[in-house]
Amino acid sequence: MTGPDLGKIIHVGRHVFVREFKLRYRRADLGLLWAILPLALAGAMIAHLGTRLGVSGPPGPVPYALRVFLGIVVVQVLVDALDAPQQMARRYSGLLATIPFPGESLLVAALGLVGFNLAIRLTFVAALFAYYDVTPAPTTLLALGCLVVLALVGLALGALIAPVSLLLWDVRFGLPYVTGLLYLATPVFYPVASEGLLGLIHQANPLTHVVRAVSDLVLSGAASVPWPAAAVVVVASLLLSRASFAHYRRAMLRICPHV
Amino acid sequence: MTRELEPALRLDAVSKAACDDAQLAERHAIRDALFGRPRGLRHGERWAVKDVSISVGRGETVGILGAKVGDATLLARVMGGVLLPDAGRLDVRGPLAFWSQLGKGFKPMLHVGENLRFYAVLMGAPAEGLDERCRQIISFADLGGSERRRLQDLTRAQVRALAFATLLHIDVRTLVLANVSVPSDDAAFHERASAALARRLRAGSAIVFTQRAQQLPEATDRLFVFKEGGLLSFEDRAAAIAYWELNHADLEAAHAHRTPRAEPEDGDDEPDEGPPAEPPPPCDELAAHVRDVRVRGMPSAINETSFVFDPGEVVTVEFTLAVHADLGSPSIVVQLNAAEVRQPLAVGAVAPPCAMSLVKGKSYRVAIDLAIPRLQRGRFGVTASLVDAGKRPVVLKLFAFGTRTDEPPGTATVFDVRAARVTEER
Repeated sequence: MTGPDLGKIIHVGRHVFVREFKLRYRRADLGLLWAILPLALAGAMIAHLGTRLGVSGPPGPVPYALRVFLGIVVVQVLVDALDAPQQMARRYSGLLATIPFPGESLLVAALGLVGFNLAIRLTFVAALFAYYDVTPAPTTLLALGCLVVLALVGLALGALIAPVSLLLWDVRFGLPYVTGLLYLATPVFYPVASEGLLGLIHQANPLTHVVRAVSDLVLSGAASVPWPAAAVVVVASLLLSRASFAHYRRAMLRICPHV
Repeated sequence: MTRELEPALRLDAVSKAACDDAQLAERHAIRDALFGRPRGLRHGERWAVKDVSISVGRGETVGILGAKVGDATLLARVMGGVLLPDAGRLDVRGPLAFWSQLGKGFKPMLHVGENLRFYAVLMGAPAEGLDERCRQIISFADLGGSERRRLQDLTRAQVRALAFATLLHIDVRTLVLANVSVPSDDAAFHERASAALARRLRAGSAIVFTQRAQQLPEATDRLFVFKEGGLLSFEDRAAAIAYWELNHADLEAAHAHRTPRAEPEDGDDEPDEGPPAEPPPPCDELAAHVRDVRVRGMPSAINETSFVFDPGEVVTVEFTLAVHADLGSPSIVVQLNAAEVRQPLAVGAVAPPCAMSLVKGKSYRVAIDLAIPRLQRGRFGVTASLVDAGKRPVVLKLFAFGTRTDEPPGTATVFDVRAARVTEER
């Protein structure tokens, strides 16, 4: 059997996304506010606590709260992208086992959900920029490119683990802890460490570099972005995504009948 | 008679393995998802479908008689593209639709139009003309003006009609139907939908899987009976149906103890509307009905009486069958299910129970001796069905308490039905 064409995948994926959106918010009187409330409350609390506990680092030209929210947006893109394929797999495994629609469309819908969440958060961050009277650098558009690549990487990794997570619930239960650790190991709420164990962790954690790159691109320009390395990362991400999406369809067909 | 037609769907030595131990099957599936499926059988597996080769030409309609809950379903799902074959090759030319559970994925809280659009898109409707198509579907289902109503405001019969109308309005070249029947709640809709289905089958290629001979389309070009993992080809329709009638009860009983897992539910938090179940037929459409049930000689009421049985105890269940259609000499299949669970724990068959034929308009006293298997504590239903080809089964239910066996999930023990006696009532 040959796979379905990209047009059909996107067509079905768009409808899955719209349905998810309706199911999620139809019974909520506060509607889209729920998309932003958790981030706003958690971010505000963390920013407040960070300042009180003295982990915010030396004061700079950019307010601590703004740096925190920017970091949260970056890490949350990856977390959402890792989780969304699992969510979609859980919700649509029954349909995939009875209707032969392209499984990749679930990834398109997952990408839509990640994009929607990102758009909401960026709107919130833009409001914060206005509130603190900080002007984003002209390289902000490149930062958006970084986020898209990050979303693709997250989606590719999420697509790899989603089918197995349907039957192996250790993966499902364990992922929130992994993403929690990721938050702690990434300099979002505190400055980058240059020495000691934390320094090693920061060096080894790719997300550290993404957070720094995005912050630099948005706040001060592209000074610290290693462009050749970034190009390699982009190409590797695209290849990983392609391999992962191809794997996803067959893996779902193997797993879904047993869910 | 073999027709040389351009193939719309071709299976080349397709095999599908099944594992009756659900836990083991899950482990195999995880390995397959990660590393791909190795060739051949693994521990605990058997070939449910073995080396099936068939080519369905453009415009051809093929009928396959097979047990509803058996390995035939696996073959239907492989042909329908929702299961991967474990060996061999499946080649589909052009768009294909698989009809198995009407309205699967409908959400009660969404509007009729929203449900329809989504269902139609999943079934293969293109983006162009989707709104117009939805209007046609609603009109066909006689639900004009319902587009903005929530699905939960419709009756189940209306939901069934809506789902079936959707299927009829999606253009695909090849259809695979697995135990799908035209909803019969509304006579006018039934007639309209049956005619439309016949037109659809004539217009493209179709493979119709069914366990009821009367559901086979009249214009079937070729007929097969699914048996022991393969397809038996029949030149003659009457011969195929006769063979199926003779073997149906045996096949159902044989498959029941290795039933594939139940269809997975849509995992949404929101409960699924579909697939809406067919309602029981009105009494005058029943082939027979049951009255005067006695268990251990004591009067009992269907569905209402509970008993405590000892493992190994032989219980005599008697009942009177008022027969409304000529049933021939049917088999009696006895199933034992845990309460609220469809998949039987134990199955037994008496085939046929008597030398005499059950004739329309007469009543018969039936007595079955069955040995209660070892059960874990719980509430269990005993169901006795008269099984003949094409007729709806006649069901007798009573309840038992006991202790269950330690059989792994997904398997059923053989229910020891010692004897059955049938005498005509004066």
